[in-house]
Parts: sequence; structure tokens; C-alpha cells
Amino acid sequence: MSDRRLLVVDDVVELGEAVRTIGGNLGYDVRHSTNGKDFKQAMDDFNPTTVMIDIVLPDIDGFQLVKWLRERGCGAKILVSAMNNLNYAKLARSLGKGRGLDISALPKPYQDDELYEALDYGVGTSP
Amino acid sequence: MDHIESETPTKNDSAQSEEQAQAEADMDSMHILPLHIIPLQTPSLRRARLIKNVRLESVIELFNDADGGSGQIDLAELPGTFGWPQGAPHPDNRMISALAELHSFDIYTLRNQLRRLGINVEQQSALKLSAKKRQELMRYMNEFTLPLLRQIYNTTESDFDNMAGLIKKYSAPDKKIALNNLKEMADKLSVDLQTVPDFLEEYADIYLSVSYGKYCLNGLIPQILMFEESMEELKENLELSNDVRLMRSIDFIKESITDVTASVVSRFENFERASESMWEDITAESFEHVKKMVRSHHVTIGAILCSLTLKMTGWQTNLSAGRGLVRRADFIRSDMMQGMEKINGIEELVKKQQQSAPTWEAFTVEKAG
Repeated sequence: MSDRRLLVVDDVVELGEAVRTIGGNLGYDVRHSTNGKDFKQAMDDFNPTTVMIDIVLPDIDGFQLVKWLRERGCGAKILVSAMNNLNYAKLARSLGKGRGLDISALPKPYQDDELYEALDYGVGTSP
Repeated sequence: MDHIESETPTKNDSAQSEEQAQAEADMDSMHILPLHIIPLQTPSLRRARLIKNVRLESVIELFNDADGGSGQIDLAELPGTFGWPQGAPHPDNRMISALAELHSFDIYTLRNQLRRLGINVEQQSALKLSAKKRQELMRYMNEFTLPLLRQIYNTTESDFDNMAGLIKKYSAPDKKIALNNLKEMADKLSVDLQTVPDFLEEYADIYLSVSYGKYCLNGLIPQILMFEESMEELKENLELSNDVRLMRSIDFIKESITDVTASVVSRFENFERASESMWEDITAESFEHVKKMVRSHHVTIGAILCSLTLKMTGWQTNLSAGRGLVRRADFIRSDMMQGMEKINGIEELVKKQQQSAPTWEAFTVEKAG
């Protein structure tokens, strides 16, 4: 298993593929979930070092996922995004910041270079 | 000349239009209850307003003007102020005390809670948002009216995704198709074609309430983010950071506000998901379920939004007064802290309510089963 493991949860399949390509270029082993249930399962199976969460999902919302990650003391780097509403992403960041999560807000839609920049950092710790 | 004079606005006209504007603003607000709509016996009390302050307490505001400011009295002072006889509580006192316990005075909470309290509002039209506010909510309403109109006009065209396309379609509708689709919708809803307007009215009312909440929420979030930044500023101050109790209070307020706000956003996301799914297969049952889902959250969402609005407005007022960090810290210790337990109490109630409240997921599982 790679040192860099990226778990993306976003119901837009094409976007997951784009992240897979960029993450792959940066040496990440990438896994993509399209709903909260699969994401939670992948958190256990895949043990990601970085997590990308979209706030709007079909079965659960990103805020609930951030709270869930907070409860389990997740140590991965977390990037939260919300389509056309950066304030939601910032609010999600506030949910985790200062309460044990390494969490940042990522504007969406994002350009490739923004994604490279957000993902190209030192290897995160395991959750 | 007489004719010209009669068209010139008089001082009375101007005062009346100011009063009208004030009355509308009161009904659009979450923290003001104009008492003229309540069947009180004391005439001077009916000219007053019941308002909530930054501490989330309800007080009577007898007047509010540029010269005299806001003239407020505590509820305990009511009997003395209005000369009510001692002994058994005056009926107005009982009614005001019950109203003061409400966590929000937004029209949706009032509709629900006045009924519960057995208070008959004399003018039912008073419990409506103003035309101006409804206009402001159009942007949010579009999200909910578009699926409905798509259903009626039977289109998924992209020109229907914006207002210009909508207006174009409205200006030259294919009446035959629209009528057929309305008949089809009436069948799905198991209602007569004649009662479709009632459905549409109810649909609009439900989603106007969701739009109102979302409008308030979206206005609040930037203020909350700014509030959090200003809390960081206080925490970084060397002198203040030694005050352990203050630091705890800051963390407590910040975390409580963030958590309840995120929880309200989640509920709106749930409504939107449910509404989208509902239109995939609209039936009387699915609409009824969404309606119940939204209505069951009215009171708690109103309570949280009203409380957060009061807290954030109070904080902004304090900031704009240009007070230094020490005075701001005092404001945190006193006005901001007071009432926080109420907000957390409402959130706890929400969590309990969510265990029994209707959810879309449960509805779809039950339907499939």
C-alpha cells in the first residue's frame, strides 16, 4: 500500500476521475466513493492519509461526515469543498478545526493547479 | 388646485406608510412580535412589541424611535406598569408570559405555536411574509418551483434552468400540454383537477418557509465565520489568553454556534434531497411526507435561527461600537454567554426529535418494503 492514500467522496463520477488522475500523478493511491455509506466503509478498509469531502452527497451531508471523523479522531488531512458555496466548506472546517482535525476548505469548482497545490504536501499521518 | 393638493402626500400619508413598512418589517423578522395582532385586553400593550434581545430574553418594547431609543420593560414590571390588580394573574399577563417562552417570533413558528397555545390571531393575514420579503425569497424559491414547472410543462430543457427561460415559457405556454400534465399530476396526487390550485398553494407555502429559513441561514453564515475570526483575535491576545475562564467561554460559544449552524445546514440539505427525490415520482403520499418532514422542523429551526441572529447581531453591534478587546471580552462573558444553554438545549431537543421525526430515507425504505 502506498504511503499516500487519498479517499475522495463526491457523487460526481467525472470529478472523482479527475482527482484520481491528479492524485495518481502525485503518487497517491486513490479511492473514490460516491456516497457516505461507501466512504465510511473505505475509511476502515483503505486507511487514507488524505480525505476529500464534498458537502452535498446523496445520502448524507459533509457536515455529518466531518462530525463522524471528529468522533473517531481521524488523523488524515481533510479537504472539504462545496460547489459554489465556499462558506459551507469554511463552516465545515470550523467544525473540525481546533477539535483534533487537520482540515481545510477547498473552493469548488477547482482548477487542476489548485488541486495539485492542495494535495502536494508531506505525507499525512494515518487516521 | 384642490386636485393637486389631494395627490400630494400629506404628513399623515407618510406616517401611515412608515407604520405600514414597520408593521411588515416586524412580521418578516424572527425576534419581533407586534402585539396588535394578539387579542390582548390592555389597549396600550397592544401598541407595544414583544422583542428578544441578545441574551435571548423576551422584553416588552413600548416605543422605539430615533430620538428616544428603545423603551423596554421586563415582563415582571408589567402588572405595575399597567396597573393590573394584584392577586390572580391578569389574562394579558398569562398570555404575554406564554408568548415570551417561544424561542422565535417568525411567522411559521407563530402559526404553529399560537395554535398550540390556543391564541386566536384576529387578522390571519398578519401571519404572512411581506410582498417585499417574498420577492427577496424568489431566488431560493426557484430551486423548488422549477421541478414543479418542469412537471407541468413536461420538459427537461436546459432553458428551463434559468429565470429567462422560465419567463419565456410562461409568456407562451402550450396550454394543451400544460392542462394534460396538470390532469396527470392530479391523478398522481389522487386529487380532483379542481383541487390542484390548493396543492400548488400549499406547495408554495411549504417551500416559502424553507426558502425563508435558508435565506436567514445564508445571511448568518458569513457573520458566524467573521465572529469566529474575531474570537481568534481575542484568543491570541497575550493578556486575555491568561484568563482561563474567558478562553473556555470563547471555545464553548464558538463550538456551540458552529455545531448548531452545521446541524441546521444539514437539515436544509435533507429537505432539498427529499424534494428532488419526491419529484422523481410525485404522489399524494410522497408530498404529504415531505410536508410533514418540513413542518416537524419549523419550530426548532426557527428557534435556532432566531437565537443565532440575535447573537450575531449583538456581536456586530458591539464590534461596530469600536470597543477595545477588553470590552469585547466583557461582552462575551456577559451577553454572549447568557442564553447559550438555551441554544444547546434546543439542539438537544432536535437530536431527540430527529429520532422520531419523519425522514425521507425511512419513507423510501418503507415504501420499497
